[in-house]
Amino acid sequence: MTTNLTMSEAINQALREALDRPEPTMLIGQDIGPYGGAFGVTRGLAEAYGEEVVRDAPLCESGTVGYAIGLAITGVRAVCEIEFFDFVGVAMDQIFNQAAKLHYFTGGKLTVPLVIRTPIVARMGMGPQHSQSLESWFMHVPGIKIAIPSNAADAYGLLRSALLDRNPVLFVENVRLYGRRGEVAVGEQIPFGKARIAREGTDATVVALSGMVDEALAAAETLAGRGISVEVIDPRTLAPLDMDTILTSLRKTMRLAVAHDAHRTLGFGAEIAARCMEEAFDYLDAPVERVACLDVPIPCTPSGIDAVYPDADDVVAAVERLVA
Amino acid sequence: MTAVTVPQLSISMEEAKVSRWLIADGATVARGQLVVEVETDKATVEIESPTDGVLRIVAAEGAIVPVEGVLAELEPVGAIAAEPQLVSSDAAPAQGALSNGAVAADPPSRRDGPIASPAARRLAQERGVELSVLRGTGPGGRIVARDVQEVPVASIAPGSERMRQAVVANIAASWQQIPHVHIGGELDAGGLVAARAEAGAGVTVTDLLILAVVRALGEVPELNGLLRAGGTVERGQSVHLSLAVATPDGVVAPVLRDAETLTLAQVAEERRRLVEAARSGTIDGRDLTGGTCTLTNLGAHPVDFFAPVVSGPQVAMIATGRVADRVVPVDGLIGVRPRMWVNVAIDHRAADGEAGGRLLAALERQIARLPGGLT
Repeated sequence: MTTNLTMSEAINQALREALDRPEPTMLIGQDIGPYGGAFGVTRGLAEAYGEEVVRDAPLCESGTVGYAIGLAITGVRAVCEIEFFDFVGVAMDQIFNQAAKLHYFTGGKLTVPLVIRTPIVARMGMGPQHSQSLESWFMHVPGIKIAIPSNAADAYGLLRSALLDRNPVLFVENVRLYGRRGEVAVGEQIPFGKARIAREGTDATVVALSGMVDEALAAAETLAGRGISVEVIDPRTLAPLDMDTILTSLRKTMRLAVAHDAHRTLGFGAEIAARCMEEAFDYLDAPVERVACLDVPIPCTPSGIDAVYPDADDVVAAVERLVA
Repeated sequence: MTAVTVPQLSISMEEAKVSRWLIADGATVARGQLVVEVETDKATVEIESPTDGVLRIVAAEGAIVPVEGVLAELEPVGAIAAEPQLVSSDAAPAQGALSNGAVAADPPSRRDGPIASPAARRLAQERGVELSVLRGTGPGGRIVARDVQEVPVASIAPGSERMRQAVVANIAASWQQIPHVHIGGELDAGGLVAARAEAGAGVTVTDLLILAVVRALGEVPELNGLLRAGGTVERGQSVHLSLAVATPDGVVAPVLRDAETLTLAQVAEERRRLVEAARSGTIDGRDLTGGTCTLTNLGAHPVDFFAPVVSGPQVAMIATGRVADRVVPVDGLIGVRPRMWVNVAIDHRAADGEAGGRLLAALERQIARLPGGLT
């Protein structure tokens, strides 16, 4: 059974289902209570479950995450929201030194069933401190799972899995996609570590994240008109990462590009390029292309935004270089 | 310790070049698993592991290893790992190709070759295409996968350079060492023409000729066999008929195995498969081995008579010319009959000319029996 939901509604639905479960669950974050969250995702939850359970946090991300870790290790499933991905830096020690390590350095005695939800606010004119995509920071640290859905169905299914996981999960939402509708299979989980082939193709593979999945699909449509068949893969989770699906596709197409909103240098694309080189060198017919944000602070102006962020045209250009 | 050795894949084969290890040194392999690809004189062949074990590579890629020479040792699984050094073995030759020097030699540098993508290099190796003859169409003239994929299949010859060398060496040896005797005669070929008219589509005169030759060899078994070192003749238990096939890189002779057991339709099907594989360069080395006699047919050309060189160590080669109408006496009158020259080249050390005469008689009889007796 599927229900037509926006991605925002799908996330809200998954949170409600977690709050409905008998085990103790708490949400904490700035403005997530009666206000419903900076982007309205938690709308209605405080009214339904009470402000004790859906709790507003002070303007202090390290405190929010630290509090949530404390809840988690004492048996309360904790979901915290970082209002903008860019603010995660304030809570970084709590995330990578505490949440990611506690299970390990207590010899498995503690688990940290914590979900940190945070939005990418790319391309919205919010400027250099409110527009960044920082997911690769977390790929660099063992001990944290990372989901980065590109549509309502995946957001719902992946969040269902995250809310049953005993490990800390970073859940990266894209504000541009919050209003995007899709058919959601309510009640069903999507496992971590299982990529989605968003479009099948034979001439080149584009691995795209989050908002770039739609751009890659648009590029594939354009390229199909030029006789170039593009396979688009959405990894859905970065840790664990489904390299098998990516490498299988590369062995078929022999050409690969990676597309993401994050900065180019040491972004997700760098890791994929390295792994393809290590694990499928003899299948590469061209250097791996990275389609990414320019390595500059992100501007506020529309023309500046257009200049630094990649889009479908950039994917088209990259694929044309691959098949040249 | 068991060894992976170079098998004798064809009569003329003396050595093989290690083209590619499919399994890494030190990996555990299972019995029957393909471990290495070698290039013989006429084809590229994958070799299986004879037993379970841990692979210790002895012959590096590019090394030339003689038949029965050691390619790799197989340590028992679970044995204490020995020093991963080169292992010598009784089976390894004392001299020549498989010296430790050859093993230790650097792999050929790719920097000297053309710039090609990794995928193009892999495809070229898999298909036996020389990168140096390709023109790259990728950025900066890079050879990319499509440049390899677009090479016409017919020009792909597994190890064509080595194949050429092998053909030269084998022909020279056969010409110099084999005292030939040629026994020829013009036979009535009416049976071929009539049987061709009876047979269904997809059957050629060549297929009918093969059928008759195989049956004739059954009557003259001394011409179906091999001359072994020391002068003994080993008669074939079956007729494994080598079929000389022209390819862009020279003649190859795939083997129609157990030909006496095949029906006409089976002969036609198998001949077609072998000829196509030979011409496309995709022939399996196993299809080139074990022939006991060769048929070479130039009937497609305006050729009546030719005197072929026996392909040692086979005892004989049967050469057939075109089927053509000739004016001949028929029942005391002047008649016109389809006729065909057949010439049997024999290694005189192994058989006498008289056997050739009997073979011609048997062949004429078998051709005459073809119509109405096709199965």
